[in-house]
Amino acid sequence: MVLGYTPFVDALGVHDQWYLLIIPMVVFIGIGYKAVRVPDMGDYFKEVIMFIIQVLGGMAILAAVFTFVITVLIPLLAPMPGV
Amino acid sequence: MVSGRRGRGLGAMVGVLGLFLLGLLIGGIDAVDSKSGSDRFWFIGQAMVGPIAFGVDYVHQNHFKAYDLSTGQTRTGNPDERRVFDGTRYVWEQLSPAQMDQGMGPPNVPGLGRLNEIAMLSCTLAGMLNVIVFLDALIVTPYRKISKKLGVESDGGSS
Repeated sequence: MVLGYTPFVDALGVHDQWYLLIIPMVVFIGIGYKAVRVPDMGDYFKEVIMFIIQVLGGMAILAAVFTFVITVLIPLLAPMPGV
Repeated sequence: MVSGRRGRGLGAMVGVLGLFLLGLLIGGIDAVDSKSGSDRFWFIGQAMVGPIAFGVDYVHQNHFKAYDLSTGQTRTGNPDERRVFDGTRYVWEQLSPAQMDQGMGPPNVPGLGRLNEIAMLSCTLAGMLNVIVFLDALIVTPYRKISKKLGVESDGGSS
């Protein structure tokens, strides 16, 4: 029993980059979901890429909005003394 | 794939197995657990992936967990424990600092916090995606009716 990283057995040590894991998840969801949803398989890759861009773009916009609200808007509306 | 829609079947397979293996890669084998705390509720979704989920769970329960003698329950090991056979079953044995320095420890490192949640979510999403694939295979969806009416071949990129 040697302590060391074994893929698929041990957890990855990417605690600081956890948010990047959305990228492979969205890629696989897009590949699987569009495989059953596109009417014409000729458009498959285009639809998968559009799906990935839409989801990641939406998440990036949400992240930007929430960051603005938490770091700028809330401190303006409800300033806390000493912070 | 059995129904002749190979392109769609391949895409669905890559999506479902990719998500499931991604979950295992992120959180390790601990991401699939049918018996531990709230993880068992996640297993309901993970089970929809099929036999592979039950196989991974079997390996996890029987080759990575061991009995905690104080509770009589099986659990994942802590970093200062090792899995030993006491004659009847596998139990966790406390390690000394010297043994830990030699590299002894539990057989797997479980995911913690967010990483564990993301890993379980990924495996569960794989199961839910597989349900969508089941439903698509079983139920005639509107686009297939339209494709038939128009005489359009809707698979394999041949149109």
